[in-house]
Amino acid sequence: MSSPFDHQPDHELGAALRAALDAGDNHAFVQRVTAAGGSQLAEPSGVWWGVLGPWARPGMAAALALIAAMGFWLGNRSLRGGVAAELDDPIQAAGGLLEVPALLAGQTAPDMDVVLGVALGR
Amino acid sequence: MRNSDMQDGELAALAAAGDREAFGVLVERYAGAARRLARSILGDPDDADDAAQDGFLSALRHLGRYDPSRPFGPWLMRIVANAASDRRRRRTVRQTQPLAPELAAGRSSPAVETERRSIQEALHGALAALPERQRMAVVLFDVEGYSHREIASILGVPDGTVRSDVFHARRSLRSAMAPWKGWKESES
Repeated sequence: MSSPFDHQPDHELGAALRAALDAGDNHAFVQRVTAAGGSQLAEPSGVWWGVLGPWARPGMAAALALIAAMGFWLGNRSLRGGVAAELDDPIQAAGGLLEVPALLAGQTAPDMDVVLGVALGR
Repeated sequence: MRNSDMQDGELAALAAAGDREAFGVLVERYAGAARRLARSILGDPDDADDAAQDGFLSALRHLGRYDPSRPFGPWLMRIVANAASDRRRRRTVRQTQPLAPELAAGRSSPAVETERRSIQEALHGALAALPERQRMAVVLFDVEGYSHREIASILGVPDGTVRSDVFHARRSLRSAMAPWKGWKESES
């Protein structure tokens, strides 16, 4: 009889446990699992998804972060682009010395002739 | 070379490449151990077979992660143990049947077969009363013949913990089986 302190397998207890745990008929089980495994292998996604699957969640998160960053960058860029367009406005650029502030502060759109006159420095 | 003569690592590589026969040989080779381990965790044989199957299929999906320089058995057993533990956590209704008091007390049964079954039920009951990790440790060590180090890698605990688990599990099982005079002969 083995002692519980043994560092060798206890064959007596092992055999009793084996007899108690053995379900028997491994053949039917093997058939069932092999069939299920075969259909898993037959799926086109079976093998590659096994490799790529673990990357899916971090990949999706990275893609979303990238899209968010791109959206933020593009938004900023267009905003700055709008300001630049205002600064490049020929009326402001040329008329900064004259009546342009008055034109911009008006409640209604200025007359086109006035605008052109200011722009041409007349 | 036939598949059945191949080493586990070669079979795993073939199975990972889509070879069904190689996968079948691996299943055949480890079916008994996987089913016993799953049953030691779950108790119910049908649940155990479902868990063992889940383990094999999960292993097939993740064969790309298997390191062929290490033994295949412990790698697979870890997956099966996880599959069985997951299933046990999900399970809410089914429980192992409690032993009838007269059986637990060790009174003799008229038929030898009945006696043998009673002893096995008692052993199941004693096993079910153990903490899950002790159960796995004693089955992997005394039934499947894995080393302490291999079991440590399967269970994700230090070697010393496995030694302690095996010791405590053996002591509890022997103590629970002591009233059954014939339990050592019941194994055949």
